[in-house]
Amino acid sequence: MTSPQRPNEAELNAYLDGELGPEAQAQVERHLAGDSEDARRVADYRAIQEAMHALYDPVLQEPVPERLAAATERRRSTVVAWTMRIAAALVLLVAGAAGGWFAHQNVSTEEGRQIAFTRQAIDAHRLYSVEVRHPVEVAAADEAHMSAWLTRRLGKAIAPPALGGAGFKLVGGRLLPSESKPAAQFMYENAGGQRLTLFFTVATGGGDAAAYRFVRDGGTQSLFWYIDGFACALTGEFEQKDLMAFAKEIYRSRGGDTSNNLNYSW
Amino acid sequence: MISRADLLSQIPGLRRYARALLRDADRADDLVQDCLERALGRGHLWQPRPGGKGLRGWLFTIMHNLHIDQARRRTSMPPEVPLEASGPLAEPARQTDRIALGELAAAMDRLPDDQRQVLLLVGLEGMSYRDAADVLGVPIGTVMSRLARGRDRLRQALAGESTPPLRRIK
Repeated sequence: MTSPQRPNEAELNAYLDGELGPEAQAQVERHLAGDSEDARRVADYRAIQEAMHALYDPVLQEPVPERLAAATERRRSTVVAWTMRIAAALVLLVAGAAGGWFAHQNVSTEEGRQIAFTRQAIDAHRLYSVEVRHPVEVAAADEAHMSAWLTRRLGKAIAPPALGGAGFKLVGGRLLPSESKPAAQFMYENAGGQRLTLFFTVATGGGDAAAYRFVRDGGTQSLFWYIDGFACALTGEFEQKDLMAFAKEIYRSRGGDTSNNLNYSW
Repeated sequence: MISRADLLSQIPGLRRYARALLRDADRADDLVQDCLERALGRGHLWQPRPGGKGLRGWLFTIMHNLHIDQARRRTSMPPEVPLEASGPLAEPARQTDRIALGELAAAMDRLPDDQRQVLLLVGLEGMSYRDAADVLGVPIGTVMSRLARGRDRLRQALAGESTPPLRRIK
């Protein structure tokens, strides 16, 4: 301290704020005991401090507003942000709707991954196939553009298979997330207004070409299989034999030989 | 990496400071939200300091800088709603045993922004001079002089002209 006898204004403040060493602190205390004006000043500063707390501490007791709590969550990259959010909602829906069933699926196994993927297909089907005005992101009229776009996003050449032979025409398609990878959905519709969706993503790991499985949820059924490096799930309110017939049509439209490519237990 | 729980635990303190700084609950929460979002966006720049002090100081620094930016932008905008017309904090009746809180709020409002910031960081948030200086990006000496001036002005304002030094209510 520059002046042991009479602390300056800054020193009085530092005393109040506990910024002085013990010795200087004691010195100021001795000074205040004998200087009523400075003592009053410090007392007034203390009173102001207490009043500030009385004024603003109630804020600490308020519940944290939802928007601030939400702001602590890591934001997702901008382009896919809202489809990501839908996907998150879907996953929650699945977990809720399917009860323990989904929770017990071990996605670390090939079988678990296939089932989880097929569940995503079913949920995406349910979400979008009921849409009247906005069932797809890109309509069939822009098929070439859609194919180019999805090819770019998925990183593998893709075009919607023609399902005219099974009575379906293309409605359009959309980009979706599956796990953390891009996936896509093509939507078809028949003359009766029934919709069929093909959900697919680029397959990782060795997909057994002959493997297929059905997953049913209520009236919605999905057929999972691998085709040409894609994992696919064909989904709709159809019987297993119908879905198999549609899948064969997909093979046929891609120039495949159905008798070879489809191990005909289906 | 900053954990969400750590961030959440800082929100009440950030809100208190922002509310005291801006005296408008909505704008204060806007500022806190901007602060949290910027913090998350720059989370990789944050290095924890021993004692867990680092996160709080860092968040206050971000909020201070945002506040300065926003205040700068607002200078060209119309003046804000007068104090008396706004906000739940303008309740006239509340007081401690010596100071009417409405008067304190009004007096703080008349302080220059830089003095008010120091008073709030040190007096309300209990920061050391060093931490407050880091948040504000000024030397410790500046913190001390602003604090001394701010407290002195507040004291005079609350004392009124006729009843020095500080009116005794009890």
